Amino acid sequence: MKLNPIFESSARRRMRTWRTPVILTAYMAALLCIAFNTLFAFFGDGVRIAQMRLSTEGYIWVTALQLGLIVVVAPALSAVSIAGERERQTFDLLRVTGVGTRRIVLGKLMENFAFIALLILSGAPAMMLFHITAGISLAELVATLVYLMVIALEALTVGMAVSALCRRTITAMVMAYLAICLLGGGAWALAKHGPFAARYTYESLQALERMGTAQILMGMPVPVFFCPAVGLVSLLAQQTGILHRTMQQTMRLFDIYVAMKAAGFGAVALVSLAASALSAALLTAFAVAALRMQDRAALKRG
Amino acid sequence: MIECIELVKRYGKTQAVDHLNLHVDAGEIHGFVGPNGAGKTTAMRILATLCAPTAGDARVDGVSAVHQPQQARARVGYMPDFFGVYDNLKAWEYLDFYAGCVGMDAKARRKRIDALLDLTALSGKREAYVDQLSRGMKQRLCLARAMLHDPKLLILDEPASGMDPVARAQMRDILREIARMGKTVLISSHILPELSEVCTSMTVLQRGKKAFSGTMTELEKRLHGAPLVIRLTQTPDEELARRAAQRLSELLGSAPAMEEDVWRIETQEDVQRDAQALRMLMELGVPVCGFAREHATLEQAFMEVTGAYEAQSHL
Repeated sequence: MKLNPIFESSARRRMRTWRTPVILTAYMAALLCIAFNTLFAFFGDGVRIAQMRLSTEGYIWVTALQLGLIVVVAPALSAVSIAGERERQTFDLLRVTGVGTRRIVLGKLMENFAFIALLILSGAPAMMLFHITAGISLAELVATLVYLMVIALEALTVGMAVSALCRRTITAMVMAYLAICLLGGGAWALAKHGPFAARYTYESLQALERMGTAQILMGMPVPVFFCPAVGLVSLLAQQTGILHRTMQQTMRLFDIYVAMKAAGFGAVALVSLAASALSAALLTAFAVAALRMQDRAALKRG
Repeated sequence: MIECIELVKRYGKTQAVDHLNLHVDAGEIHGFVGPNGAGKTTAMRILATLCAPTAGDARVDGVSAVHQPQQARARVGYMPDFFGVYDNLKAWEYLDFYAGCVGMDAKARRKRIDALLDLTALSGKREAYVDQLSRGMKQRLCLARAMLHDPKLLILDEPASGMDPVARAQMRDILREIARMGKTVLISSHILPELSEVCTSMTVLQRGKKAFSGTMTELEKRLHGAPLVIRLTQTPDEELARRAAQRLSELLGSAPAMEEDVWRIETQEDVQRDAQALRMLMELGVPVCGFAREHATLEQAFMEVTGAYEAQSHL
């Protein structure tokens, strides 16, 4: 198989910098801190049933932290990739080789994704600890890791699309974070305050539960599924059940939560996963088109 | 190999290239000379398919760089006036990366990279990190990169800028070797003697227009001839000097300007007449120790051509 040269070269360069092991170590340390803190509390006073919940909460925290770190790290990684080539003045050299815009975007994306996947997998040992204490099955752990990787891919493609448009890395990074905020926050705001929100109250839960899953899902506002938090909340609620109880108590964090519960958390998580994958594919196509457009503009500009 | 037809490039109100017509034969090392902002880099970028002209066409080996950029790219190796190197990459990996980008398969790459490192005298630096190479080495590595896909035409924008004399000499030798390989080279430089030593032909650009284009011999002919300079071991007596001046004037059609032991005659070059003049001086007993045509340097030629062009455009 012919390896994408941009992927090969970028990966080689990334793994040679001192930053890479530092980021990996810091990332693992942050996750292990939370995991061990939970475990010490778990074993500190003898194992009791009540502590099982503590352990499950630890799993939720570690997973949420993984998501948070991914959302912070991924756009920064991909936003500098193409804009960095322009800033370094190496983009012209790439253009004269005749390498296509699609290969450039895919090469950069693959390399960034490989690094993010490594980060996520480096957090896996911390999550594995909860396999012992919180009763999280290996299949559930794998499902969570896959979900995190899809979210990471989505976040990377946001950065990549912006990077294809921007000439400076700093502009690309700012724009990428703005786009991420818009994607996550916008979907959440729409779910909470949008025209559909009023439909999903606890009073309507019983009525909703009489409807079929497909009907509820189709009634939900589409942008909700593109919000990474919605998918992760559904996945964790499906896996642990704790989130469900916490949500019931604190309520109103997500009005849409009622619909998520009625439709079934597993189904919402699946649709959300598909939406993230779709969004990643669309954003990649957008990045290729944007780079092609910028290429033409650069040609005219000279 | 290179053909520019009525090439025009405008940036707003600025005319970077103004109806440039250019023809360069295969196998030539063609110099591109002109003051800053003359349009050299723009014209080179058009030929390298990195810039679209406002009007006209630029062809490389019969292929339009404007309308068939992909085909043209296969024929052109471009080296810009900046380094364009990545950090954390070894010299061979840098070349391997671009070889992959041009679509060379892994087996062919290694052989080609070794050959190019050898050609650019960088074999010893194969495992060295690119960002730790000296400026001259980086330039040579960029030249090797431009040659990866074995292009027929090499476009080198200021390849010797910022190099020390040793590095410049090395670059000159490499260019000669490349010319021996049958490649056509289009090279721009501000260091004019560099060009005069390697170029077979030259184009002088001024404000986007062609002020001169032709072989180096043609460029010299454009000047007021190379003066004949006669150096004497000692100042001859007045009578001998008068007689010699008269005979030289009759023979060459121009009187010498005499400054003690150096006589200078502004006249067209003619080997036969020059030989006669030397024989005559020897017969008269003039103590000649030097007898040669003083050819103009490229700087003089450049100033002459651009000066003449400026004067013409002000009329």
